[in-house]
Amino acid sequence: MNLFFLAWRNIRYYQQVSLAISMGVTIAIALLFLGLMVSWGVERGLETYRARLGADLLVAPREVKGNMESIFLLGKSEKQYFNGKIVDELRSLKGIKRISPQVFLESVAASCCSAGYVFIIGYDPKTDFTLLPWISLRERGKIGKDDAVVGANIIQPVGFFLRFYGHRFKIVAQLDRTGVGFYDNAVYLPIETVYKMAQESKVKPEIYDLNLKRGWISTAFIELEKGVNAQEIEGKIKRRYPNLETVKAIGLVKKVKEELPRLQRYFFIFISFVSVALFFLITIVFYLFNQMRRREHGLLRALGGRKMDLLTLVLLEGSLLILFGSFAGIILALTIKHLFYRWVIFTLKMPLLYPSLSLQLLGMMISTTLILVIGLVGAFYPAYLIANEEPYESIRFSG
Amino acid sequence: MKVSDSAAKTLVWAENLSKVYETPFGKIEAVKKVNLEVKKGEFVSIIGPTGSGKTTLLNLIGGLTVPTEGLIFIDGCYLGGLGDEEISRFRGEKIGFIFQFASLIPSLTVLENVCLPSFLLRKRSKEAILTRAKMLIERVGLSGNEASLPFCLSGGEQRLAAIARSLINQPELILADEPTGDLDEETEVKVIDLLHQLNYEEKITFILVTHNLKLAARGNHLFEMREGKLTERDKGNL
Repeated sequence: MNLFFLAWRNIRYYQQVSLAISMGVTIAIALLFLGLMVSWGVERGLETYRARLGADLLVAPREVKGNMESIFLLGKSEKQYFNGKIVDELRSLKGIKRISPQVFLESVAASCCSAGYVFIIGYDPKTDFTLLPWISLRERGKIGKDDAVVGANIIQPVGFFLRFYGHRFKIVAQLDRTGVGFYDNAVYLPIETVYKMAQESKVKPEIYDLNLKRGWISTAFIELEKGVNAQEIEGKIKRRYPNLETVKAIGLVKKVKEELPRLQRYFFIFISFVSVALFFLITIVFYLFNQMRRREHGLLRALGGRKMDLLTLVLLEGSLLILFGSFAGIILALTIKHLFYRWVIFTLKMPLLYPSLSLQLLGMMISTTLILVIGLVGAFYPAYLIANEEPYESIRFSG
Repeated sequence: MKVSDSAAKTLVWAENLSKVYETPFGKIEAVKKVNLEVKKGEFVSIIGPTGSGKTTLLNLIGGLTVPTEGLIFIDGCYLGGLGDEEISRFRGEKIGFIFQFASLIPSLTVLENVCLPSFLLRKRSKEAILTRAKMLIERVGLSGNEASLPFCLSGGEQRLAAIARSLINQPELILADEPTGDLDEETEVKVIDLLHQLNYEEKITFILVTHNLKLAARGNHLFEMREGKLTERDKGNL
């Protein structure tokens, strides 16, 4: 028998108090860990999104001005199109290295293949430079007119089939997660197939009219030559095509980047509040818990226990409860993180890609250490008080 | 600090011992200039009404509280000169306590409770502690209850377990504070018989605080505590 054994037995004996303390810790650590994951996840999401976008400029109809973030970050469909011939004209513009059109169809709720809605995008396999580079050569080589490349949120795996607007598509590749709805909820189909579907929707009564003319597009992704000033090109495009809106790829993430410190500041304030609340909770609960067990502690001293033994015992009990609470808190946070991933993205309106496993482990360690320190500091004062009380006082005046 | 050789047979020596408590309602002088000498192997009883200072005196002797004034020597050792580490060790080695209430640690089994003072002392091996604890449990008549938690035992059984616990470190002095206070008459006699048996067979010195004059009279010396003052009573007058 040692103090660890005694601490463990006490925790088991005083189950209700132990449970109450552990639950407080569970909630605090879950909030802290989730906060860290979201904060780091947005940073990672932004980096991944910037890398994934591949383009320097995006062109869209003027009508979608102001909705660019919701389209290109969240993947919210806008049924505004412009004539795709402009793409060929722009291709000849000096300073533009590559340009590729994409057409967005209406988002469809598809419980068959996704946890939420699916964003159908038509891409041009001949000119595309934003999607195909992320697919392995082997997969690229076998993409046909009825093949689909899907985002990470699409549940069906490669080799399975999806059905949209009366057409059946085979999934030939799945993209890695980006934390951005525009990519993760997307189903990429060859642009010609999309036009065919749109044509058929006009004649097939069972299909909802897609209202898309052949050759019309939603956006064009532009890659500039090295050293070319994006603003200059934007100006040229806007002057030549006043009905078009341009946005710099960096501009899409700029707003989120500006928002991020604010989010992190709120998170810091929130965590500070939770930490202070936890500190007081643990101090008060431990104080009351020790008062309740004052006689027991006095007895331990009477039976030969030193002040240090008592202090160690109370802090050991606290540490064990915090560690149990931490473990439960991490499990809770991981569950919430998994279950509410898409809800968090839509609420924050920011790209969110949870950090790598090693960073998540670091987050667990930081959260647990912080809560352990707060908990032990909170438990120390009540433990110090009880350890320094005369054994006779503890025994005689026990509550 | 050691007392002179002439006092070598003296186990407890208290001189001008006083204890004053500060309360919100003023000072309470619980023990007033008490002098007491208890020799090794004696069985001393202290009687007195509630609030007369008996328990405070016992706790002063046991080093559980510090006197406001006066000196206490146990087996020649001046308690006032010991630090926390030393006095805790001293209590563990030399003194056994039997309290007036259910004093077992509720989360530990009977066996673990009996072992506890030895584990806190960190002097003997686990096997030696367990062997002695089992022997003591058998001696107080609690065999078969080793794995029971205190709440499963009756008041009398809990008191017997506390007696076994007080003996685990083979103390020279046992301070028993109304150990039969809430027990029925039969159990009360059984407990006091056991204490006297231990005193006789193992030469353990006892200081017993009790309300029961009949039981108190069985000791070598009888003291009475009134309003903090201690006086020796003649057993013949009882």
